Amino acid sequence: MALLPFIVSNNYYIKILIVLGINTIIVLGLNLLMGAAGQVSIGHAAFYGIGAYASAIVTTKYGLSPWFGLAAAVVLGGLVAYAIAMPTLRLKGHYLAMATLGFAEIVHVLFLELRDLTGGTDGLYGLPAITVGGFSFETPLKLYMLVLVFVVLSLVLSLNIVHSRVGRALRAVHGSEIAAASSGVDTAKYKIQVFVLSAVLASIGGSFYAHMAGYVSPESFTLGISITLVTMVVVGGMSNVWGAVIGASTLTVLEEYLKAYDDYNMVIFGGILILAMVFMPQGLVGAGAKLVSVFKRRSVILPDAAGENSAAS
Amino acid sequence: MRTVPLLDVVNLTKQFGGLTAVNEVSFRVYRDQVKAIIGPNGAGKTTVFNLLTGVDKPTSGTVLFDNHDIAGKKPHVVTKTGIARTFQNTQLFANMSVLENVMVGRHARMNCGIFRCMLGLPAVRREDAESKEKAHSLLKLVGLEKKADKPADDLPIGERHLLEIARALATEPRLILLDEPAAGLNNEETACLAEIIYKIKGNGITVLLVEHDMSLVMEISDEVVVLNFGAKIAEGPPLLIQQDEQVIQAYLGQAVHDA
Repeated sequence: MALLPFIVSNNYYIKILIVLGINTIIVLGLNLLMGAAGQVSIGHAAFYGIGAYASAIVTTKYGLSPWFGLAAAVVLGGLVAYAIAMPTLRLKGHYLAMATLGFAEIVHVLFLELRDLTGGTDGLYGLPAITVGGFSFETPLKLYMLVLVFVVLSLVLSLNIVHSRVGRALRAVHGSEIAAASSGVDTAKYKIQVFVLSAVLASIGGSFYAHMAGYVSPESFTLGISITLVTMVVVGGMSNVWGAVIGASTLTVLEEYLKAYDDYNMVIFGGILILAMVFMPQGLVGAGAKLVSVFKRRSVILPDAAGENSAAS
Repeated sequence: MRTVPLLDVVNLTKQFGGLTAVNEVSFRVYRDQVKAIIGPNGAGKTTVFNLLTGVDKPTSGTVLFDNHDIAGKKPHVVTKTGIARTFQNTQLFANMSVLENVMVGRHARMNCGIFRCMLGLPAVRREDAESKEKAHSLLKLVGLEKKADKPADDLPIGERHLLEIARALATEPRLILLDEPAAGLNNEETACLAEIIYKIKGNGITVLLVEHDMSLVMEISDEVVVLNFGAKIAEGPPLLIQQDEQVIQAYLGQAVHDA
């Protein structure tokens, strides 16, 4: 992934790689929330948008450095997520999903209506490039490298969490909330923590997106984006952190191909979501693992495995 | 000898709407005892467990555990103070391995929070290794050490109860509540379960259990509480309970051939 931009030197492709990286960061957080903890959000475009607007407002309205924009994105995204998580995470399953959906719609309306702050339908223009000291991440290639660093960081943090005490607590909440609580897990606390963490990662993604594009507008943070993000989580595979990387990569590239059929974009994504749920409940990662185990069985002929194979065929 | 009870339940009552599921129930459990709660279906046994562990809030009454009032506290707080439980309809984490299920039980005795876990600090790894070791030794205690890496979902019903016991023990309880641990077990497995309960008692952990298997109850219990329609109708050593008129009536003769 780090070498790709040198192979594809065209700026158009590098921008796709940046979007791919940004999506990976967001989907890693959503994978922890949905895959590990089993809490469904179809409103993460809101946090993506909050991050982007926080960055845009801080840099264009107050003339501060993009690093303050990124910090503002993290703080605002985290605070809003905390405020939303307190009441909504008492809800379960579909009700939580509906609540996040409603929340995202409210945020979208705010982007449109708080014109003094957000520029309304026009959005905000003229975001500066991110710089460190004298070094500016102005070209797509340089920005890509920066995003890649954050992708790797997010990936390492996610892997660390999943295989730790906190990760087990999250998965326990997913498996049986009552048993998790009786095993000593403060279920409300962990549900809030993972929701806030996923929102912060989405906000970071939003901040990078804003600085890459140079502008923000409400149409980038719609319900369609939330659904695309959820599709990435599901298609990649919810039970595995790597599923987030695979899902975000596959669907970002696919989405780019589908840009030609703009109006049918959502139809195709909805279709993929349904097919993935029916035929690959474990996502691409799960399907891949199954394939590998089938090959292993065929090459190493164990007596009972061979019996199973012949019985199956 | 009988000074301060480990668990002192006083006038515990739970109403669900118009239904009184538990009605002014009082009993005491002393250290190192094995005590059983029996009664016909719907007598309120599991509700008592839910009230003791914070799953349900009592309508009235007090629950003193080691002289601290724990009535109405949240389940994870109750667990941390030293009460663990298993579930009648087993509640395993199907998405995790057998070993990981037990490691979740270590949660309250570990410290690393989300930030330290994220960074994967050496302290996190040390704590994890320690908890893994403890979880392994508990799996050995219940005889599941060979299945440590299997998905919990693959276990047959009898082993599910045993895994629940291991997970509950992982919380380092002073009192363990077992909700029908012998349900779905054959005679051999039930004998094994009795051995495990003796071992638990031997480790200085007090046992309170709800159970329908009367021969098991009569064999292992020091004392028995009998509930019927949410109220306590008898309490005492197994031999006396078997001869209690009210108890025999409540079971309509069932208890006689069981015992």
